[in-house]
Amino acid sequence: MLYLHGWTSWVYFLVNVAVAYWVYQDAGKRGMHQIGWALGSFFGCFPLVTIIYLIMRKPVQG
Amino acid sequence: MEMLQPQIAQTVPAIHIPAQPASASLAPSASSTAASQRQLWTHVGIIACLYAGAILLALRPQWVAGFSLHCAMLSIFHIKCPFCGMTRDFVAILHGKQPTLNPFTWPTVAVLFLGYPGTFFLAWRKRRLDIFYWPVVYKVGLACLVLMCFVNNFAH
Repeated sequence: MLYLHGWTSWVYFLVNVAVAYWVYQDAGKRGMHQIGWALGSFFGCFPLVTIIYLIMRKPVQG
Repeated sequence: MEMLQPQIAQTVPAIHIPAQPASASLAPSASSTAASQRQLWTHVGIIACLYAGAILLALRPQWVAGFSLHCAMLSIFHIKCPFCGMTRDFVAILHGKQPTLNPFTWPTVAVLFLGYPGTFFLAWRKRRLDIFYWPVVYKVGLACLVLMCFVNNFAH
């Protein structure tokens, strides 16, 4: 698989998955679209969509 | 006129306004102040990371471009994401060359490195950091991402 050759690709992939999971959890706390932001964070060129998420995220609810 | 005044006083009920302490109406609560402080430092941290990343890419581009870091969307679906090619284009810009891989590199660089810090500064001065999560900002951002994805795949 093109995506996972070499150890750097594995590290990049695992960090990408971990950050997408964190975005999923964090978006839930803030009343934002969890799946949309998590998928965007994973499939957008990491970490650009994550940076956009951090800029546009709402304050924590409650 | 003098005759009417007692009648008005009888017909109009007195409006009772409960007294509120000045701190409750004017000063923000401690939790909202803490939340706005967190928001402020998050933006400062993002801007610092953006400029630190730019310095890293200018001085040591091989530390990032030398690794085989592939976009998940391109690898799995064989579709370029809206940002595919931008890291290499940004390195090219930093080294005085023209970007060729993504047509939206210049607008994205302008938005991230000039528009965003400038907007943040103005919003912070006006105490309106909530502009970053206005619904219209989400809609415009999503429309831009769809357009960028389309152009990056089919029109470029």
